Amino acid sequence: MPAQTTELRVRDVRIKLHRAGSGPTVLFLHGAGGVPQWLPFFDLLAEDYELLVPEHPGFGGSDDPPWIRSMPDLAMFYLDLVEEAGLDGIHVIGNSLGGWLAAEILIRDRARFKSLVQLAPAGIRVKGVPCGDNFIWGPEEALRNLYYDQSFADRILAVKPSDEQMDVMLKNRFTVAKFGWQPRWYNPDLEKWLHRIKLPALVIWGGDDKIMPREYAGLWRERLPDARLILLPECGHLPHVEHAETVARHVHDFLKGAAR
Amino acid sequence: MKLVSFHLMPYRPLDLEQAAKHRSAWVVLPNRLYDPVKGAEEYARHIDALVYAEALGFDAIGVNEHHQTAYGLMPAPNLIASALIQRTSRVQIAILGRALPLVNNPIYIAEEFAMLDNLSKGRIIAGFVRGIGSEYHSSGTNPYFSHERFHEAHDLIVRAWTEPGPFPFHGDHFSLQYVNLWPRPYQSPHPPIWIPSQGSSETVAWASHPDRKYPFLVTFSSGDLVTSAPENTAMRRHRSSSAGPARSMSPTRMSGHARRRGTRSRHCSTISCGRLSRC
Repeated sequence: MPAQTTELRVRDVRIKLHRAGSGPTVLFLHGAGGVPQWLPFFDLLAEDYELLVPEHPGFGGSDDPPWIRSMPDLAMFYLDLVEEAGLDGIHVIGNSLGGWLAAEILIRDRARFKSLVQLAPAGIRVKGVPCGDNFIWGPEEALRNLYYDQSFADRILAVKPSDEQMDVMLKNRFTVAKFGWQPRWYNPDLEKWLHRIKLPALVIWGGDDKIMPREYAGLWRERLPDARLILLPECGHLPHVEHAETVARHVHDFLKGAAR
Repeated sequence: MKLVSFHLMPYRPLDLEQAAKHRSAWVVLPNRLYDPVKGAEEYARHIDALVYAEALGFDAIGVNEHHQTAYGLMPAPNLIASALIQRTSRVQIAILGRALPLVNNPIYIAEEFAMLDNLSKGRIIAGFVRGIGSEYHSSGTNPYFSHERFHEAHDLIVRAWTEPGPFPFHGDHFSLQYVNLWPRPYQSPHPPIWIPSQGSSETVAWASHPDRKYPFLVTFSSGDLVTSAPENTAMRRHRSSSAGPARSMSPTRMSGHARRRGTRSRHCSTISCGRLSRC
């Protein structure tokens, strides 16, 4: 199912929005890598849902307003966005930085949201268990550390990116540093408010995640008031990429229950 | 022409074979490789060398700031400057420089420079830098805001040196109800400000602005840095746009870094990880 790409304007910010399918609304919040391509996982979701994949401010083809300076700013922006777009009954899925964003949104206002799926989210800290430091890794190392199955990294490394793609990667990297550099990948004021997310939640984690160690999965399940955890073996930081069909199946099953 | 004898104070006894087993000589090089007995001797020898530069007729002696690295043992260059003041009488002492964005309260830098300027009766040259990429790892400072913090800290320090206190300072990163420097700098209106840099076009433009016209010092490692990151297209653009003006406006160049064979490439590999700071 081909995705449609449109532009959404929220206040003075232009957002690039990819969408596909029809049905209840599923909002996918991307991670640090942005949305370099339309994923097989998206097609699988679009079979039953209206899937919306916006590029966050500061990423890819979206504007980078100077007044968005932190994850709480980004979360408030998204509350404007869902209101502006007239979205309601939203099932939100977040991966990594996108999962962190989902939590920052939902602790503030969950009125327009129906459920939460977290795919290896950032945002909280298990003391004494450092997350992987993608900022100090070299480019190839950082890419390889995303995957358990190295053939995914091999395929990406085999293609030389164009100048335009390099510019997007650099833009994304600046934005990722803005949000995730200090403290590394979390907001000290997030964890204590996670009890506010009174929604059905599904947490999916790769058993071999080198960015967010699996110890973090347990803390999310503990802090979210209504969460189930699925740990996937032989899976890195991008479960929806490495195990698209399995994750899509789990999400379908979960959403059918959550939609009731 | 004026000559500066400039020192990074490298840790020369470093076991290069051991060091080569690690990602870099910066940030992550285990500090068990530092031997305090040898290190103390290093400090003594390095300070002797800089003091001797006065007898040799140099116009100034220079120190600088780096953190968590065998490449330079001066995380607090003002401490070394203070020692040099006590053992010299004529040379200027150039701190090249303090990294402004790394601190949470730049007033402390204004105070330290003012103290050194008084202690030396006006022999201080104040260098301001943003710090290379690795400093943003070792200090936990977000490089995204590096330029903003640098500009704001500079404005605060210069105002603290020149405006009658107390006055309030309201910035985006630094906000102080009372700015009232004791002591004030010895030199009037303040110590000369120099800007050492690896050649970021933004810093070149900022330093050469008519309001500032600061001496700009280009470190020659910038070539290594840029060519070590050929995939970084934006960096290449910065380099091509900055090379001309940086050279034509620069009365001063920094060269001849005292670095040991074998440490250079590792040094560069870490910096390339911190490219975000656009050093």
